[in-house]
Amino acid sequence: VFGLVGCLCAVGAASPTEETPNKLEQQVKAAFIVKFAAFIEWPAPPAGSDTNAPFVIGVFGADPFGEEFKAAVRHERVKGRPVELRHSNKSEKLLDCQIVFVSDSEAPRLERVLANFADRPVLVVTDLPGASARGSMINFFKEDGKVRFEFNVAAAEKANLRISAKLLQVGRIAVPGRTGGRNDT
Amino acid sequence: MVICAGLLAAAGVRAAAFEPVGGPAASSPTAVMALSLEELLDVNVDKVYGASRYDAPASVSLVTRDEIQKQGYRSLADVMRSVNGVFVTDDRNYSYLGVRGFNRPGDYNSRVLLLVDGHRLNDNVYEQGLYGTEGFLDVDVIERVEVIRGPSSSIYGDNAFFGVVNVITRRGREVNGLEATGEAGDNETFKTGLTYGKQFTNGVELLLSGSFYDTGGEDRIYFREFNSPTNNNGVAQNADADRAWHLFGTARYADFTLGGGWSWREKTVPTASYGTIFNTDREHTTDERGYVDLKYDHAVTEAWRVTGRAAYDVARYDGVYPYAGTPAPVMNLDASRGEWLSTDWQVTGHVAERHVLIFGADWREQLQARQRNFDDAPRAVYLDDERDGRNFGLYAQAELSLRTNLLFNAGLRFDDYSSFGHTWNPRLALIYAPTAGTTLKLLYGEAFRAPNAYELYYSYPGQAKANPNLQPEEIRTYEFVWEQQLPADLRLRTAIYYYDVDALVSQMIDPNDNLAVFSNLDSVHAGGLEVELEKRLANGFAARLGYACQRTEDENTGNELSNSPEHMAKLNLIAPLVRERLFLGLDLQYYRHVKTVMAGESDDVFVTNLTLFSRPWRKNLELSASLYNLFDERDGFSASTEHVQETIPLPGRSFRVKLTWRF
Repeated sequence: VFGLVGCLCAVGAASPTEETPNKLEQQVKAAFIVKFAAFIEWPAPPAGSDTNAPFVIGVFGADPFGEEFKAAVRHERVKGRPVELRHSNKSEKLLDCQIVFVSDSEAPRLERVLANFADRPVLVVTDLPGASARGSMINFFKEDGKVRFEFNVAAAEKANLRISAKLLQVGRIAVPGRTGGRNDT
Repeated sequence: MVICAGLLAAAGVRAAAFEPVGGPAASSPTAVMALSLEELLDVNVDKVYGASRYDAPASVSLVTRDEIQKQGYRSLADVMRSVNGVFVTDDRNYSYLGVRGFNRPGDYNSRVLLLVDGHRLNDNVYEQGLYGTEGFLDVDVIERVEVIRGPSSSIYGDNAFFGVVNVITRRGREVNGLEATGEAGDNETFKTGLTYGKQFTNGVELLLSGSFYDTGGEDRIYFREFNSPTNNNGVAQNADADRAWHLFGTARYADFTLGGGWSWREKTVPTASYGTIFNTDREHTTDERGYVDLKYDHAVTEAWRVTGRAAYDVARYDGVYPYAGTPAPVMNLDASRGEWLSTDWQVTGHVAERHVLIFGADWREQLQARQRNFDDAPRAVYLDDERDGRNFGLYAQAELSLRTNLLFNAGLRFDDYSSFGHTWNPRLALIYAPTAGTTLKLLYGEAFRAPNAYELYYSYPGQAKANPNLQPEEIRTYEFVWEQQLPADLRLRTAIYYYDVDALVSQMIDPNDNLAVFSNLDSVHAGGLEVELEKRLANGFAARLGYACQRTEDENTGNELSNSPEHMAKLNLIAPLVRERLFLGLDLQYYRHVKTVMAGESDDVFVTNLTLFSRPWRKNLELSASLYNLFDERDGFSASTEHVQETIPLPGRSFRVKLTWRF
């Protein structure tokens, strides 16, 4: 009985849940991931590539967002492009994503996972304490019950991604970029 | 340091106002996806927890760690006192929880199920959950407390009679380091604690916490019933001491969580209960509780999930009761030992993306439920009763999404006990969100409370006898819940309920032998209303104004129950004085007078607690200063039949300062 864990049971059992990430928290994080796109500049795609190609968001490892996320992004558009959600346990299948969320399940081998995306224009997002220092570009954390995020600007710069000042302002800079972190223009 | 303050302020009211409103429709991922960046930043994700208040088949309240800190709550009992419709009485020995007007003096906390991270804390002898300093958890390891009102036996079985209190502990990764706390207060009160939490790169997450609490208690407590020269004019001196140890830890790796802890509390009892000698520090009780629990939680597919657990529990109680004797007082010892194994399994699945099915089974094997009563010297044994026993339960629940804004929830559970046989308990709920911002719930539930070992088997020569034929108590509850988002960031929660309790276990005197015996005697029905208005702003301002009224009636006598305040009102206010750095917590509680067990009347009780909470440099240091019972309210609730006192006065005004340092 008492093992009511996770959002699935929570809704139905209507009974106390445990500490596992709650449904709303995951929904908020998923929404953030989609919103981030508007505040990131990717390097220009090679000339002649399909401008209508889907904007691909990858989830690497155990998927904390579930089927609902897929349904929720069905009608979203990012930079005028439809959104495609791709879930995989193999990083090579996610190399052409614009954003990759690396799940908690990959915590032990985060460095190895990040190495696979090194120098590619992929925005890596995590939800793991200390992940910024380990090279994740945007990392979620919680403060006073609200979802917050921190940046490793240097890691983003290395991947040729530019994080807009507006986004930097509402998060925390864990690792500054070469220019000193804040780019207030 | 860049904090998201500026933009939040700019986002203004709209952002601050956002709360997932309405039923399942409004808290859908699509609704969340539609929010702006600023609005997302302001969603308090702790507010609606997994068992979201909005689609739960019950009226649910939450108290978070943030409130616990800013209101200076010292124990789970303090937390519960802040919850609308709940009242907690304290006989200077144990705390007793009252819900929906029901808190019969002399009963134990066995009609509310207490869980820690889903692990059942009610013991196997008295079936009670402990809430005061005698409780299992230190308040500093609590992340939040969920209070689910109404019957939940259809999922949880025994004890989920008037409600379920689920305590969720902090995560190691959120503690992320070492925390040391020190507290001091008047009456020689000290407490010190250490908490360590970390998630390691190999994925292991650890939380370890320990604390020690010691107070001399109130030097002098006046009980007018004892006011005579031979009884120190009614003053119990230095007889209120309290000491407690609390240890708790969790370790998580992949699908497994190992959790457990141990608590020990020794209380000197100043009330001379059970006819013992007045004004002595020799009456005291010791309670110990411990468990080890291994939990497994695995997502089999995207839609199906299985969770299981296995646990070993112990509970121990020792009471020392000094009776007048010649040449020296006689020490009577009352003791219990409980030891049990349990396991439970649950499968949850999403069907056709809209419906949720739950199947579960659990089993408890009592290794020992032993009760003893004896005099120390000269040695005389009055009771030594040792039992074992087992019970198991099977249940299923379906949550059907009939339309996007209409949920139907039905559950049924079967329980089998070696002591009394079996019982079935259903629950039905209809949850409707007619517009965004409005949720209506229509609820019906049945629940039971199994007779505990104390009621079944306790006996004392010449005074009390056992009754192994007791049947479970039963309750049927009808409830209507209305939750409404209002303008100006206000949120309204209203519940109207009616319940009917049968086969209540009460003590009576058997006319055949003049012995006290527990029997399924009484029936009670009650109706009530709970209203709560809540407002939260992004700057940390939070206010909850609650009012509850209830009318209970003993069906045999037509009288109101004792310890059943007809009206209660509460205000919990947290106001930021200096942005992010200094907060004021104000906690007001009003309880209308109650009938006492002596058929008299107590006085109205009005308690005011004040706390200043500060994070002077935002990070490592937290300071708080609290004044409890500011106006020195001394009236209290009804005492029980073991007391000479009609009411037990509340502890007087006291202060506490607390310091937390993060390394």
